[in-house]
Amino acid sequence: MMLTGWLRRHRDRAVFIVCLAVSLFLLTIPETLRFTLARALAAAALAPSDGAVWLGRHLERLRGENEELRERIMSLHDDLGRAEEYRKEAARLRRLLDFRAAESYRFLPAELLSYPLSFRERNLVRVDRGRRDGVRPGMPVVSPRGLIGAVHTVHPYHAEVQLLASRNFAVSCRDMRSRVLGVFKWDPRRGFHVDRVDLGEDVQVGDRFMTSGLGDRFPEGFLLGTVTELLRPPGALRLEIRLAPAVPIQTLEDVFVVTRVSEAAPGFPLPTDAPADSLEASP
Amino acid sequence: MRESRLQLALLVLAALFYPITERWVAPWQITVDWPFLLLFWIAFRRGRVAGCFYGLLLGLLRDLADFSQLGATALGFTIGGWLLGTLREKVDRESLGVRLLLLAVVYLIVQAVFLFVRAGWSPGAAVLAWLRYALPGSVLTAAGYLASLLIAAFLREGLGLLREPLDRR
Repeated sequence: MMLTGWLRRHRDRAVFIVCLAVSLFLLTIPETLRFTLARALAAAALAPSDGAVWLGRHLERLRGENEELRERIMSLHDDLGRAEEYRKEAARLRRLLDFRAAESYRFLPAELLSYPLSFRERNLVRVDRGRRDGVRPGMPVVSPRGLIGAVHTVHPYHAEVQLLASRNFAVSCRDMRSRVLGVFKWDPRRGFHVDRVDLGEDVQVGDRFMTSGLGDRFPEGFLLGTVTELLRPPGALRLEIRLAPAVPIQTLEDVFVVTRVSEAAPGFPLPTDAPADSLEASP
Repeated sequence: MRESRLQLALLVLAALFYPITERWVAPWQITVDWPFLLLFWIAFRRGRVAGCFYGLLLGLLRDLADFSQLGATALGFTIGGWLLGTLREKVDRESLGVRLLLLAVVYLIVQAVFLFVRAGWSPGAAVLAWLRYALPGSVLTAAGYLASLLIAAFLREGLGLLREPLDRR
């Protein structure tokens, strides 16, 4: 009671004594404990500033990463620009190749107007391209799968195409595997066959024959057919090679008239197992 | 009033950076004792209760800054705050010279207590350290007080100009 009254009367002195006591108490505690206490208090008191320092360092690291990423973006941007240049160059070279192809062959797309009806018509089909389109007699007619025939008669707005399955049609040909030369023909008895191949030549069933380019009538490389039968008749001097046509007439849809052939023609660019749409027609 | 608040803000700011200035900027290990100036500002205006309470608080914070002798500065600042709060009623508070003199004297007393404790309660070493550090430190601290007053006055003028309408200039 007396203490409470004294505290009320001398509040300032009481505070002073308590503060002094706290200070002296801190001085009297053991050194190790004092350090531990100081560290704990300092950690608590300096936590905000530590956070600020951490944030500063973190921001510094982020800034470094940002710089690095910016440099990376610039590098990638540079690579992208270079890739774009390569793409344009590739497109330009491809155009050049197309141009060369166009210089070698000009494929005039044509639509079939009629199918062959009988032998009397000499296995002719009619196409919707004629003299006004630059079509001339003797021009090869192809499909994406191989040779079909040649232009026979030309009219102003249409033309008649003689198919390979004609008695009086012969094409110089070559075995794609063994490079053996022969003459591709058709007759009603034997069908499609290759003539003038000696008995000792290397021809096998499954070989494919293409135009050889000899004779200047058909350019080299147009597929003609695949060997289905190989006969060696007794007493004969030549092989009898029968083929399945590369382009069955029943499946004929799109045809192209080869309106121009240059001497630099590298050959018809049909791959061995190319899909039907791999041949691009140039106008 | 505005000037004194500006001075308080400056002193708080300076006291916050005191550990840095004490370690890296102080010539001959003597510097303006900004925490003591903050204590002076508080005790001289709020009295001895606030003086000894904030003395203990500021002294503890200063002790935490160097980990050396937890409680040494707290004891000195507690006594200093009490003295400042007590003496302010007996002197002319408006006189700058009196304030500076009071500041310097109390600072020397605070440093005497602090150095006595730091010297392991050895009077001889404490007196030598007191002569070496406390005397020039009191002059520097008084100069720091003057500088804070001048900067606060300068800022007050600057802020007043900024707030004053253009047609009244």
